[in-house]
Amino acid sequence: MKLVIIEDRINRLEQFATFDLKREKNVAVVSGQGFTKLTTEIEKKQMGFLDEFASIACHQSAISVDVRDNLKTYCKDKNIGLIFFSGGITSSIFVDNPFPYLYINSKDFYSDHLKLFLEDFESGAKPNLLKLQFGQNWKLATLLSLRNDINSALQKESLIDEIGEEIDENERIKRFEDLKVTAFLKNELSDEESKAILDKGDYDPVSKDEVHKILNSIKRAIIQLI
Amino acid sequence: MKKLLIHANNTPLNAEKLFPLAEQFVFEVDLDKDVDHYIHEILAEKGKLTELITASDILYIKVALSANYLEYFGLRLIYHIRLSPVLKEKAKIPICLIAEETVQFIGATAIDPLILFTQGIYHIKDSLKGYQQSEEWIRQGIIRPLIDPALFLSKINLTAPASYRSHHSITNEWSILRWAEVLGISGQPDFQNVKTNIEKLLYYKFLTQKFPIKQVHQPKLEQIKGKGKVLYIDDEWEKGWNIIFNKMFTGTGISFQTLKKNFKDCKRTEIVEMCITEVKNLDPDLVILDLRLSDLDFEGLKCSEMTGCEILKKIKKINPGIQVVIFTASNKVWNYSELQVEGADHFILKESPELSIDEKYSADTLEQLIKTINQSLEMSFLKNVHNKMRNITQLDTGLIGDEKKEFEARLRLNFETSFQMLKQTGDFKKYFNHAYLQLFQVIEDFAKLASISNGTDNFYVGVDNDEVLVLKDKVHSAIRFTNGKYDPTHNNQAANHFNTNFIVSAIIIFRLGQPNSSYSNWTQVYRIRNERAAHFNEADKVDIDEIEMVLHFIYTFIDVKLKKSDNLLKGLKEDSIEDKIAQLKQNFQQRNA
Repeated sequence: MKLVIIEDRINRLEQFATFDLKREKNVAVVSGQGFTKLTTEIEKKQMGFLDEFASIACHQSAISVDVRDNLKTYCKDKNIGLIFFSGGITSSIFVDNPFPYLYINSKDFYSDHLKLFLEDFESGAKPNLLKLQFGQNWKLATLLSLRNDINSALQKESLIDEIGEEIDENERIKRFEDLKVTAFLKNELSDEESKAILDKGDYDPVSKDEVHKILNSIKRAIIQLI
Repeated sequence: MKKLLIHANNTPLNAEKLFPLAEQFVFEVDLDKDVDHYIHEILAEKGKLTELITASDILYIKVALSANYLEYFGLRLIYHIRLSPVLKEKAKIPICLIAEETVQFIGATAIDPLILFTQGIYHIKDSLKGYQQSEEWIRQGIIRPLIDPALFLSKINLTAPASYRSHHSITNEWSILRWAEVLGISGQPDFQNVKTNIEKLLYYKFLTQKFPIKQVHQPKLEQIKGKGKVLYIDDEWEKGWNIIFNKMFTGTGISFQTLKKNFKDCKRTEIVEMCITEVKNLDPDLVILDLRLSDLDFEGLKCSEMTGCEILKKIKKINPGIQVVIFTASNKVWNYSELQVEGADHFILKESPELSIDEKYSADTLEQLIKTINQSLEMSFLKNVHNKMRNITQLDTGLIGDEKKEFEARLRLNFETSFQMLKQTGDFKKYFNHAYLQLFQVIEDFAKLASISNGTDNFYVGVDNDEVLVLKDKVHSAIRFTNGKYDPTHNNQAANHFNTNFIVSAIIIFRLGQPNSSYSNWTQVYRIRNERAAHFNEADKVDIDEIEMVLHFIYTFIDVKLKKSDNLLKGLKEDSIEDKIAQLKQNFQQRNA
């Protein structure tokens, strides 16, 4: 598993990177003539050479809109991570759906977070772009998002009784899969109170009480992280 | 109270019974757009969010406005609202921050949390209870807008975007806009990028509020004087500096040129090489040089290791007379002293936001800049002086052996001393006199070399391997002083002053074969030395033309190629043995008598 970095400004890579990227065996850096050749092929939608990579990072300002769109389509089809970095980005944005996509400042990209991110490539785990965005705080980011989703769903349900609000059935948490608890989260939340619930199958029903227990478990995990 | 909820479909409060759709704004940042640009668009004069906020009395903003909670874009939006002039009084609107987390938690995990602790910001839980709590606060009159904007600004602080590698880049853009305004050219399209940054980026909104760009004082600025060539080297020339300098040099006698290269993809050695090649090609009199030209220069390097300093050293090696003005955003004085050691002649400090509180500051800084450029151009004669000195040191004097070595060592020392004195003339004009005397010493040193002239009672001028007798027995002379100069004569028995003028004139006439001693302005050179250079009255100052004159004389005086044997036969004849015996007899008889 490898990360490909498509970078026209090779000097910036050398200057910003806080470690020797060239010695990382799981990283392929494409620059110079290779950069021109590769972007030309992407423009023509000849993307086969990207198949060996588990994530793609590209300097956004150096490529055309067509190249950007083709990369997005490719990553969406393959469900692999896409990172666009640029010096003009003031604040990073990450979305996991429909495919992992991170928009990040160049200097933040070439930081220690990248080293942490590359650990997944070494271990063979699915690359986690949150590690690139938040570094050691990636777990916190994951847990906060999950807590918000669950809390919102529970609060919305309570609005039905309290003010007679109608809510979309899809917003309710009825089955285990609605909790969106990933394998990583199962590992993080494995306390006594939630253990039995976390062992459920995706389509097993979960009660409101069980959802509250999971929520409490997430809250405890968050507190331990700060 | 009219209320508005700003969310990302991630709060239970977006229930229509709490906030009808007309009272909701869904924050949907385009993933290919920077978040500050997106916020600026919705908060523009006719932006959708501006319209909604203008019609509201209170805002409810979810702390997270993206799928990724920890991005905390809600906090960023609140900063934008408070710092956007377009909202006028509504920028002070009371805001309820919706978050399941405590204020302390957000404070511990957000990058810039200080806004949480300012007037007009209230925290409610992300639930119906939280909302009802806010309604109760409204009824009790607890919720109020921001009342004291100055206090607000003093309490917050914002982290500069990562691409603004240090405070210097911020200073750069700030300075460009302020100076362009003083020069009345900020409306030009070239300043659009800088303006865009000032207007859109949160960090600049913060700076412009903290250090507001008031009505910039536009004085009648002094003109740049003098003539010559100016080279401007800056990696950020395209941002607007080039236009600013062009404007300043327009209509002057200066040829202004910017090194229009993109340094971004270059290694430091490549940048240095590019700049030095340009310096060699253009041969400028003045270089305006940015200190930080490479990204590496922002990575905590010592001043002496920075690319600009490296270029400074190389320029001064090419010709120490080329004036170098360091153009820097660094206000660290220790940088100045290091650069002065390396030969920097002047410094221009870019205007940073914290200095702009005084509305005259920009105009004063520009006036200072023009003054600095004028001072540097005044000193640019040093380049020609150095070129002349170098040409002289490269001449073949015809000397050999130890005499050659000793003369060349003294020549270099005299030139170096004289050059150092000339460098001081910007502050003390009297140093021109000292420099002149030092250069005159070169003439005397050369004239008194054994192979050039020798003797006192009988004085000879050396020509090739022979000697010409110029003065015999202190009485008979082969040259005569008339009308302010020496001419050859058959046998001048009138007494002559045996002094430097006599010696140099004799060398001019017999070694260089010139018809008289007015050659190459020697008579003037000597007169200036005696009548003004050696005097230290205020009125007796030597000027640069006279320095150049003495240098020119040295050049034409010591060059062996200029030797001519035209006047060899005009020297005195040596006494024969018979003449000498007769003379001795005569002396003897006179004594006995």
